[in-house]
Amino acid sequence: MKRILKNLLIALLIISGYNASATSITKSNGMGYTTTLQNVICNSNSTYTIQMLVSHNGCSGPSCKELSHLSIQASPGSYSNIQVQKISGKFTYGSIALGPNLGASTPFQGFKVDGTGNIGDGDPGSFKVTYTITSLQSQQVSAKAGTSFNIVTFSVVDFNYVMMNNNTSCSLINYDTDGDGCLDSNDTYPNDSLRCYNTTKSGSLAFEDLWPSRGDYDFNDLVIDYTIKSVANSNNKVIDIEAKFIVKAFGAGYNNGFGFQLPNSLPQSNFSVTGYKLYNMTVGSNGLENGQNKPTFIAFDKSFSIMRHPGSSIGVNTTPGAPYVTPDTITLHISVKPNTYTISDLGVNNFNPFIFIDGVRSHEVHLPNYSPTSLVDMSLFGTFEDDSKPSEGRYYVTKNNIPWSINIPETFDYPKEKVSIIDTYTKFADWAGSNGEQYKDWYKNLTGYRNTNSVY
Amino acid sequence: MNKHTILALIISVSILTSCKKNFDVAQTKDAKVTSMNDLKVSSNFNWKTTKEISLNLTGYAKAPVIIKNNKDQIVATSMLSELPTEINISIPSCEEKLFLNYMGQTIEINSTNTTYKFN
Repeated sequence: MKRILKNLLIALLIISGYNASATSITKSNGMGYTTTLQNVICNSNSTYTIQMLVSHNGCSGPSCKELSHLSIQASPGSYSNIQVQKISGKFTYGSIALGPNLGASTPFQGFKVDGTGNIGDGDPGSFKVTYTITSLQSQQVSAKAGTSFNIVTFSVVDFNYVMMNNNTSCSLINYDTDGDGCLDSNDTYPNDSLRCYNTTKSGSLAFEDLWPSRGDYDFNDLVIDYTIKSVANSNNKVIDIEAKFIVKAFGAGYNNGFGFQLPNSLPQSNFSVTGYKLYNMTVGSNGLENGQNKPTFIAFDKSFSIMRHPGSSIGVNTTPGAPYVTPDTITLHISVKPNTYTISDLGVNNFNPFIFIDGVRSHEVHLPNYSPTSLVDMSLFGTFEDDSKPSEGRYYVTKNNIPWSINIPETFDYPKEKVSIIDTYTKFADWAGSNGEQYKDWYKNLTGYRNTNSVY
Repeated sequence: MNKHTILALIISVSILTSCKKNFDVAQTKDAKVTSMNDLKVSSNFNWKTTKEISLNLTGYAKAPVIIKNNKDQIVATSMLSELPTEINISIPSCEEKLFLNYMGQTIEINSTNTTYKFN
């Protein structure tokens, strides 16, 4: 009964020339012509009725010539019931050539609306072509004007897209189960009307923690793999963020904390977060850190509380022979005010991670030239080996522009305790010395790229 | 200057030139940086292993574009429409090619050519 009703409705749609508020696809042929795939309707006998609207914007001159004929590609024997209807302007045509061969001037087989006139070269207008086809197929549409073919192609995906969105398929399947404007075939969350797709950023962070003094550059005082998954709706607005941090190692005597800040000044009240592991610190009722001018999230405040010291060695998982401690994972679930921010608005790609040293919240270490948070002790800048110049936006580098931390776009195989990164990664110095032009992939496990004995 | 003298001179110059070359190579090897303290880095080097790219993409239907790298890994996803959409992505500095999957089409773009209109 449901199917009969649906077919009846589709028949009515065809008769009425339905297209109001329907999903369509418009492609530009060039020379002022566009072709719009207005409707794709599955008929009860499993053929399809297709409606295309060809329009001209009224431009004139040699690059906007009059239409001489319109050809539509279709495999021989697959098309019938071709109708042409003027919609606007002074459009006229002579005949419909059924093909399949359309002459040397048309580079495909199909049918042709021939002898067209009074559209193009200063004459705006539009006309609709309706036809039946036995199976959906990739179809070219040529709006021949002068010597230009002006071809666009509609793929099977295009036809299905229009049919599914307009619910004119023969199938009783609902192609957008949750009705969020994100077709199930594209929807990572087909049963969740708030969510459509994920975008993920991942990598590895490695810190030195003696700042503002120079460290030993083994870049293992805190090593964290991260994955930041932003979930967006069909309007590209972020609904929530899942920030996962795997603490792999900390070759440190200090009990350090870790967090990150979003780079843009956005109201803290538009966010909330759960999942952090705090032992000494307190945060706001929404889970964000108080006293900040940008959204700031603390993942943990005491490294030795989330991964216990194994009893020997400096720190955890940096000294070969010392007992291995299973990495700890902290997953922050961040809720974002709905329909407010895109991923770019939030600046997720440019997030600002940092550590704070030995429980002292004002003693932060960031990636080179990333700003400190509002809670940093500004008096530390420019002391010992640090050559930060806040007025110039220069932060966390030495006089020789050497950093205290690094961000790598994949898992970092960090050096053993007290082994410098420069002795571990053989191309690191070449990369840095060449201003990043040589060995851009220095961190990869390629032949000759690392001293494997130096990697933990 | 007899023939022997000229020959001896040529050989001497040749040896000296060869020594100079070897000396240069040895100097380069000796100059190989072995300590972070000796590392000479440009004052404007940013230490980034990734680069930020702003894509400007226009579709013809409300559907997602899936941006992949040359290892077929998804870099980003975004819904496109008939209006231009700006998508900021971050990719490893060593990668140049990106592949855009949209409505069944796959387009290869270079990371320096960041505007594309699907048709």
